[in-house]
Amino acid sequence: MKWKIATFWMLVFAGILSFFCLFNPFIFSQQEEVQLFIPEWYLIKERLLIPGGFYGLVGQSLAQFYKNIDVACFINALIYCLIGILFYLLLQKITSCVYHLFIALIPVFALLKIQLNPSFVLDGAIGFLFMIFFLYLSLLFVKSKWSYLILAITSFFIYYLLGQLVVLYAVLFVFLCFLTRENNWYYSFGILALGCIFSYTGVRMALYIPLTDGVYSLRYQESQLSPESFLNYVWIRLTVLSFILFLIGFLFKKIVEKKELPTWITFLIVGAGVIGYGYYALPDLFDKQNRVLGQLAYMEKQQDWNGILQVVQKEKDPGNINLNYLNMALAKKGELADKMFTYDQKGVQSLIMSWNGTYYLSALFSDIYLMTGNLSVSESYAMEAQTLAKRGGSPRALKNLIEINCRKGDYEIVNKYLNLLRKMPGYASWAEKKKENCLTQLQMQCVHNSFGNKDKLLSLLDMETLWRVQLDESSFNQTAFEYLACSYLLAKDIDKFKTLIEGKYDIYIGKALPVHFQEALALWKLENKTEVLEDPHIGEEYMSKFDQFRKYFIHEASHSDGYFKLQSQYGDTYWFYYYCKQL
Amino acid sequence: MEIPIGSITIVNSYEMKQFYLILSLFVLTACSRALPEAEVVQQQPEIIPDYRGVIIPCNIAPLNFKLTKPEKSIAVFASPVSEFRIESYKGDFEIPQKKWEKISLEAKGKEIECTIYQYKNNAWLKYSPFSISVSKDSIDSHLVYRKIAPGYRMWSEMGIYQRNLRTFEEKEFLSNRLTNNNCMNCHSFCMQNPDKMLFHQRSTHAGTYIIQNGEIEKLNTKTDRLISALVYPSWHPSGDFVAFSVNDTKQDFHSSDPNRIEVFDNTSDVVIYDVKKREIITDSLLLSPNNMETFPTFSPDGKRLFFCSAPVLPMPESFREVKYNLLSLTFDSQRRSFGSQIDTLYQARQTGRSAKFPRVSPDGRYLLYTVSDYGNFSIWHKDADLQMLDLASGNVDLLSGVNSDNVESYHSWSSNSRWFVFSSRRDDGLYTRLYICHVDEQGRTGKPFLLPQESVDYYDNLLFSFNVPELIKGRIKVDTHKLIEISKYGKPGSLIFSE
Repeated sequence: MKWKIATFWMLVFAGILSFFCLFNPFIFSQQEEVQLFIPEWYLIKERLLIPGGFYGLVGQSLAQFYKNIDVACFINALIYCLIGILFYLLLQKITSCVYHLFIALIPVFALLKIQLNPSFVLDGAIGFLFMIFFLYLSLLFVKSKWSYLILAITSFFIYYLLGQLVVLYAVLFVFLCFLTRENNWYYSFGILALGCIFSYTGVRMALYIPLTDGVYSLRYQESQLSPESFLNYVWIRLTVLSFILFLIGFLFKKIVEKKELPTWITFLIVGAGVIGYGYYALPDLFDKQNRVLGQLAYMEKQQDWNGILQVVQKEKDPGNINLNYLNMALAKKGELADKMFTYDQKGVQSLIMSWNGTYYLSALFSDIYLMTGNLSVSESYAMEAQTLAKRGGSPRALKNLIEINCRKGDYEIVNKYLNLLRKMPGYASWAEKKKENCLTQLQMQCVHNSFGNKDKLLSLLDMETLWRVQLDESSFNQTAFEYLACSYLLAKDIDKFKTLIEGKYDIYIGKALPVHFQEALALWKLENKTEVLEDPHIGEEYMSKFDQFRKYFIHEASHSDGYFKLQSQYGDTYWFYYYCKQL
Repeated sequence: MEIPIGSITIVNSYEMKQFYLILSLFVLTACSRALPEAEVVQQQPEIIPDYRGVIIPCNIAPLNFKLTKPEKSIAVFASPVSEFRIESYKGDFEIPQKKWEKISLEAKGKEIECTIYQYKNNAWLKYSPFSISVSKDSIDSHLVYRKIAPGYRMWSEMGIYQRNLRTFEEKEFLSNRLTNNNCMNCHSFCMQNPDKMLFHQRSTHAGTYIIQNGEIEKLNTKTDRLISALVYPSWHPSGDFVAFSVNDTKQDFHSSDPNRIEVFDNTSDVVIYDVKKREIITDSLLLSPNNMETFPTFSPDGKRLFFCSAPVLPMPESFREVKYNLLSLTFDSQRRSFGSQIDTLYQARQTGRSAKFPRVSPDGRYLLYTVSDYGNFSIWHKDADLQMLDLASGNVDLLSGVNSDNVESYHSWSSNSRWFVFSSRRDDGLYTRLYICHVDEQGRTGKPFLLPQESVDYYDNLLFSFNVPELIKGRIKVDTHKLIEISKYGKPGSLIFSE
């Protein structure tokens, strides 16, 4: 029988692992990049001195290995499987039944759902795991009233390790003692009282926010900058769920004992309940959107530009942030001005959308502006990302700050950040290599000359001007130029585009202008009814193709399906965007 | 002779005595083993922080430090009376508290000499010793500051902390983890008295919190009659008044400037808050529409109000042209009125620079202030430096031994006027650290020293800046839980205006 149970849980482990690997392994990468865990003894000691610091320490220690998402999937699958096993063992204390194997999956489903929320951190699962582990040990140990006394003493130890979770542990302990009809079960109220006293003392001493803050809504929790409140929210709900499941286990026990229901019906009810809850716990649209964002962010870190293009291409209606990733990937490949309009663009916001004060957008903007050479703006967003990262900082933001300050010649701050990253296992080798590069830069005195008369306050500059600054001969940045040119095209301002491109033909000496630039120039010529249509910068095929487009457009524009016909023929051209796309 | 008793063997007492004598000799020899033979190096070692030649109070925590290169090393600390040594495999020296206290007392008024031996390339080197002067002047027991990440627009974790300067103990006065991640700032104490203080909270639970002998009062200081809620505070020595500025402040960012961020006022004024009557007192000299008045501070006798003022200019275009003068006028606390004559202590047009943060020493002798090329928010100006005006003689000390080639900005005095603490970004140009400097009766300053920490890697790992350092004479005793409850649920009082 035991081998059957073991097989069951191995299958559960495999199922959870598959879910993580197939659905959203990237969420672990997202969690890893918003924590700065420095494994120094004096910092660890500081956290261990505060009740509840232990589980947070374990969570962050494990999360630092999330850089490898396969390892992250394995760690999480193992933890969730252990939670399921322990929950099953607790249910077995009420009565021994096979269907408890399925009931024990419900808290696992709940956690699988919760962990998709970007506010969740591994500490939440670790804390819950330890809580039910101690719950199980306590039930094994409790035999006489003296054992309650010993448990009362150990509840301080549990409080030290788990903080305010000791209250939830005590609540479930009381309930389980009652359900399992332990001798002198009412002594367990003493442990609950102690747990409440410990928790209240911690709140009274201003060590942490009250556990009761967890009763507020999800929206409230997501608005808090640190994960503490959200974890309280999760634990309270898991405790309530556990309470209900233990009660169900107890009620089914009574029903089965009285033989009021055939066993197969019991199994049917349990199965339906588990499947129903499992269905409820399935990822929703919001989770799927987050998944895509997580995937794009991960691919960006891996510099998998083709991967980004493939992911966005599959989307029916990509949002602005997805398009920001897409266009950045195109620019990294040197194809922005050649292939931008083969994708469904939506105006200037497709290049850089409005900042919404979140970590992920700050990190993305820092990358984009670094690419276009706007060091100060990139640094500002990197600093925002560093500030907004929920667990003390962001290695991703630090890497950008290192790059930026290296180019600016601020080597003291570069050293500080490099020394920090060298202490983190996932970044030590990168930091060592970067240190060598920075030293070389110092020796060659390759300092980006970003100072002097060009300085202006950013409130006095618009995005257009920000990119224009990068077009000086001394500091010309081709990506900034293409971003600026493409922003005009996206805004359908082809006069500005024409003026810009006329001054910069020399950068394309010996090679053809990018495809969309030729398309736009052809459009401009015909729109402005210039007499001389030939232009050395526009290929003949673009002029004739545009001429065909115009005729086709006139013919099809009045038909109800004209838009789709035009899209199928010319959807990858700037002309289609210019004439047919509503902004 | 051995006497077996059961499983225990008792050795003859004479032989026991011989054994213990030999053991003692061995132990003593081990403890006082000689320093290694070393090649003498005619230079001082490079240490972090640089505590060479600093002047410290006799009641400061140990000055833990490390060598720039992590090698096996020995540090010998010697006072005129005794010495001890610390051995380290990595070149970091964490000095035991009791030994430090002892040696500091022994060296009071004199010096502690530190000699470093370092094992390098299979040989020992002995560096020239450096000295740490121990002043007879003690420093206040606690230092209060805010810790915050040097953010741009957003903020996350921050808190106000009090540090026991004798030890490394740092306790939270209030952290925004407990107040829904709001903003808190501008903590201020009446004559370094921890029992009379105030601070602000912004965004969530906004208000000014005045704490007197444990009693907490929450004030809503936002009114239509003033351009903003009350901002930079300064207590009158009597504790009956607080001078505040009100500021319409904006933050912006440079597109390409080493100063990164610019903070400027569109307009500002100064008002006085009567703590007992809960009234705002205003004066036309401090509410001028053509000038921006800010950074008020009272003299220690309460008879003068110092403040900074600059002509109003169109902003943000003219941010580089705004230069603040340092002014003062008399204040009559009985009548709650100001004099009509404004004295100018720092003339911005003459000097071409801008003054801010005036702070008078408690003995009334010196006025410390910050200058930079323009503007008023100097923490982001690399050219910002401290200067000290002798109010008796009128001489200005440029404090060249105190300033660095990076930011020196906010500062405050100890209660005995012999020390001041100030913010500086000299270490890396971005993260603000606190330095403490000695001033003797003649106004001569010593080499400032970095606030010591228990771990020698503390500052390397810290991604927070220290703000608004204030020395206080004891520990703030406030019920933090009660403060949080009042912040979240307390009904704020309103300001009324004296007509």
